[in-house]
Amino acid sequence: MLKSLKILSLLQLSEKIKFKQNASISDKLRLLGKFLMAMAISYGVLTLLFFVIFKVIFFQPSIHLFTFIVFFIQIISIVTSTISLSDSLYISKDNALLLTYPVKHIYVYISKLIVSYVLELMKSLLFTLPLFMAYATINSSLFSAYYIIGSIVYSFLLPLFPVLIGAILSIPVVYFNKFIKKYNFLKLLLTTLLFVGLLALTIFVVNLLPDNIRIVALFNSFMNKFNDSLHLINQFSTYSGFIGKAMYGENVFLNTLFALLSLIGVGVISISLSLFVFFRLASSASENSIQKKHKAKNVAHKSTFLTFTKKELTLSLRNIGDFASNYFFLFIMPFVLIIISSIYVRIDRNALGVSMTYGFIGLIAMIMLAASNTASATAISSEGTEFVLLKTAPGKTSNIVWSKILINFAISLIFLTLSFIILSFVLKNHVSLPLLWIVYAFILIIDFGLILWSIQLDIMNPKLKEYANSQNRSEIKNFASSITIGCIVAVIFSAILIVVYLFNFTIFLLCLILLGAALAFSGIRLYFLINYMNAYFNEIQL
Amino acid sequence: MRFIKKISSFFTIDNIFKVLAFSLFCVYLAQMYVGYDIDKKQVLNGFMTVFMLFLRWSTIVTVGFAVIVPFFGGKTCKAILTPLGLIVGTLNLIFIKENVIAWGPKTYTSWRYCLFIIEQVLILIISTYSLIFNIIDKNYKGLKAHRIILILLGMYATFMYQPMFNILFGAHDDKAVDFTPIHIIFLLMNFVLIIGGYVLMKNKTKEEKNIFFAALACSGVFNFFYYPYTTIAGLPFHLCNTAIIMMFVAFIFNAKGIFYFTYFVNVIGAIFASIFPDIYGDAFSLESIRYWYNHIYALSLPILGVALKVYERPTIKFMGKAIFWFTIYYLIVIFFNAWFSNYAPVNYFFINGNFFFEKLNIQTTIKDNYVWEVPVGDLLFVFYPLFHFLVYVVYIGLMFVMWYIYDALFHVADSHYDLRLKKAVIKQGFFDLREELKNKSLAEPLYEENLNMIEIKNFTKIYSGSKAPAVDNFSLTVNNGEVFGFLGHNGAGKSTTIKSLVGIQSITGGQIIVDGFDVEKQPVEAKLRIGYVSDNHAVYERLTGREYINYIADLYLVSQEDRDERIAKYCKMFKLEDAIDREIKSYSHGMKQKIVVISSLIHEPKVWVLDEPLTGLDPTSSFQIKECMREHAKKGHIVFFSSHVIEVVEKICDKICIINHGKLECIHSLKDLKEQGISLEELYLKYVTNEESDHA
Repeated sequence: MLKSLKILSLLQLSEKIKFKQNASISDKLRLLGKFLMAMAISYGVLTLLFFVIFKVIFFQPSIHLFTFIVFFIQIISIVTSTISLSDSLYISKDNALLLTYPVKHIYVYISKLIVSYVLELMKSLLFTLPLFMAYATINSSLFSAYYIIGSIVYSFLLPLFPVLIGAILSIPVVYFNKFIKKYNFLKLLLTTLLFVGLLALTIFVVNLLPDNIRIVALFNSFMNKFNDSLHLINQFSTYSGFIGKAMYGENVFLNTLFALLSLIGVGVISISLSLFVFFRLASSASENSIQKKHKAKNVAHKSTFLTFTKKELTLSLRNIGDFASNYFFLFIMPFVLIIISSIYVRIDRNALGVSMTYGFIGLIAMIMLAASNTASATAISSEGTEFVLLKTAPGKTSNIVWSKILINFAISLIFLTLSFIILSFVLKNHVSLPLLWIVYAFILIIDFGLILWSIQLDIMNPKLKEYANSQNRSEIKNFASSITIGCIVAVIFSAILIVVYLFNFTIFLLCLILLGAALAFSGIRLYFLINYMNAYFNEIQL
Repeated sequence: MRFIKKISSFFTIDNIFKVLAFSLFCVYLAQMYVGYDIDKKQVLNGFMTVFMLFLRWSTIVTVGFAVIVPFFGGKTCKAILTPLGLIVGTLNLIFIKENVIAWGPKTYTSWRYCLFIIEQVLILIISTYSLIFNIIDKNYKGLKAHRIILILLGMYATFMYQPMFNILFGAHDDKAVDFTPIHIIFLLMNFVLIIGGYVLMKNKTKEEKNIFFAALACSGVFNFFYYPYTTIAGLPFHLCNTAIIMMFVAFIFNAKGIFYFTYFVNVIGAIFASIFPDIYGDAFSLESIRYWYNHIYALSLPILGVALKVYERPTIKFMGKAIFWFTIYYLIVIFFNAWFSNYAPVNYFFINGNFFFEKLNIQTTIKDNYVWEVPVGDLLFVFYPLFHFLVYVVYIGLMFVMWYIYDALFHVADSHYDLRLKKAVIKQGFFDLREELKNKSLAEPLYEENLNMIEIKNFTKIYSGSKAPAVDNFSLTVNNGEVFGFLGHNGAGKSTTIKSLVGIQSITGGQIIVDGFDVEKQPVEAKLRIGYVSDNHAVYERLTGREYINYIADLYLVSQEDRDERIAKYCKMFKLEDAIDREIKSYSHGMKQKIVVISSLIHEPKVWVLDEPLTGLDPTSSFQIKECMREHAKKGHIVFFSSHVIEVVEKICDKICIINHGKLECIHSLKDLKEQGISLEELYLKYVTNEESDHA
């Protein structure tokens, strides 16, 4: 059994982690060195963060806070594990291979959990362990040999829980997805209802916030209420609560025992459920269902731009899952903007704080937009093997670039406009509306420039084969590069917004300077894109 | 004896003048140490003050030339030095009273007087040598006036007389801090020097670049030491002060380790010093001008040094050296801070005071709560270990941030350079095509003799990263009306040839002509005539079959009427009427292949290329596609398909060729083979088996 599990797990891990088993010692040491450096950087950043929290903002360290932190990490891990396990357990293409091996299905199931655990463990070692160390560095009373050993041990134990819980929760998620797939309109309806409902709730809640919030004056009452909330939340923390208490030195043996028992309990439930459900769900993913018929009409377009745009729109609407994940940050942008801006404008600020209002709004909006521009940063790569159609087709196939830009920009425009319409209602008593709409135009033009930049990255460095193999945009290097560039540009232009506001220019002059700067940026990006496209698009090879 | 010979061999004319130049450099520095009171008070009348100002400025420029020319040469610089040196030296001697006597002790034996005389004599000697050299080598011929003016202007700007603005205009109202307009101007000077220096020097020779940097490095030292540092606090241990000395050493003596220290460490310090200047005097004061010269040089010169390729781009090894030297410097500064604080308030590198805390507006707890005091005799050495450690770590972190920024800028520079090259190649290609076409339009075939055929001439393909060609010197002609079979084992080069033919891959060597159009030179026209069925049916699975075919039809400019007719015809032929409006995702392998076949025929191509089209198909689907191929050839078109299924090729092809390890083995007509009683299988195995036994 162990041998089968080992083979199955290593087989799957070799796909997920690019590591050569027969690598030389120096390569292994180099990899280890990089990993340790990443841990050290994580530790440094977290130490700084805790220093700010405890020594600058003067949050009180407590067992409740520590437990809450562990609980919060676990919640995030459970959510991500559920999503990833829903895919890897039941929909993943490697099931077609793994289920044919002469092993029991339960072994395949367990091997997938092992793989998921290994990936979570790596995240835990890079984040959770440094977090424990950083917390104790700042709260030196906690530092002891026991704490260090406990941190290492619990860093290994903590990822187990979300993996097992995720495996259990993935079952109803998969059933729900299957149900929704049958009725496309339901998906759209539910999504719209959810979106509108959450938006209305958000607007209602932010309107309840008082004006002139004084953070320093309200600090003590805020801290008390915060501690009470932590106490309340921690009552549901169970597994994380046991570990948090054990780390803090409270009934160490008992809490560790409870944690292990919880783990065993969840493990037993997970494996028991899998005996009935795993194979049925995993095998049904490869069954073809009867597809409905679409419109039966031949339509000729005179322009390849229209052809490509129609194709992109059709594929986007029919791949709603991919579409949602590409533009996830745009969907949440209205909420984030409303909440954070509303809180910010209601805080009692000095003159500098007031002048930073538009810069602050601009920064959040631009970062959200930049995160969504990853669709453009992987636009060409996501063609995958279908790019061969563009290579063999005559005519100006580079028009596909413009159609992809149009789609991305149109969606950004819709959500940005929606966000600013709501903002103008919510913040009407706190900001100048003409200035707010100038900021809107400023952000929109810069976003256009960023979309052009993102797609240029992909033209210069397309990863067609990689995408064809993985079908995962986030694994493409351009994805991360686009976000990095977007964040840097967002910070720079937000700084410009703040600085320009400080000079108290007239509306006209402000408009001229801001829109001029944005147009200059986008103009330059457009110039470079056209040049690079003309030079390199036809050179792209599979 | 050998020693004497060695010594005497050193004393060549050139070496003597290098020694004189070096002496002039030392004398000039000594002069500056002695000081010039002209900057402090005005004892001359207005006209003489201005005249002496420009004379002194010209003297600094002349000293600059005189120090650089013997070491670095430069035809134009040598030519400038002669008249400038002779005039300035002579004028200085004529106006010796205004230069020296008016300001200090009225005695001819004072240090200032002696040094001044020595300086002027050295200038005159070196200028005279330059004159002789210019006459002997006829150096004045071919000199361009604009180069002389440019170099002179550059030298005057570089060796600017620091008190000039103060003497001419008096004090300025503003300090160059807090982003006042004058502060912004000084910040912009960095960009002016970097961009201007790069644009002017990028196409110059290595010798000219060396002179450029030597001039800037010397000017940095002259500007820095213009006024002597007489207090302990004024010793040049601040980072940007050491930058001036280190850049001088790096550029004059080509010291790589020191250069990369300035490149990583000093540039960061200069950036912060420029944004948060530590100036107390007005913008025209000596303090301010010297501050900006110092920091503009510390920031710009290392960047220019790499941009102009005087120093190569740094590797991690050089970063390591920079970190090493920074650590040494840091330890020295900590020690000197602790030591000299016993005598005067010192704050080298700002790690002994509260400068960072004031600028960042945070409490000094980290520094004040962690103090280490070490009494040594009467002295008390005070260290701030935690604060020093944090500053060190942060600075190292900033060095890596700089590395990242430099890397990004290099990437940008390289990609722009490659783009320019690429555009030039494309433009040239277009002109060459125009020339070849002569009076014909771009839509007309380049090779009219190759109409209605495929002509592959000496085709070679080498994949990047590989030394061996995948296809080597392959030549083939396929005529209209033929069904041509392309046989070969797995990895023989069939797909490579086909992919180059249809335009998916580039061609390393040779030529492929389709219906008179070269696939590389006239790709659009060639592709319009080709229909392609790939080996892995690339389809958009979320589109319906009809949508997919319409998409392809749009790309091939098929009219509405033609596509309506052909879609209906082929759907009926392949029995896809029911499935055509469902998403391709629900199709079987055979159905997907049929959709790809239909889309490849939708524009009625003259050349139909199929890459292993029958793989994995059921017998009915295979039969249908084979029928399609026969019918297409009967219309007078070309069908070119690859396969390793001999039976299929034997049944439908008119001609075949066999490719083996990238080389063409044979071309045969199947009719001839039949007449000769040779089976295709035997023929194929003969070539493949022979090759395998050869390899064995």
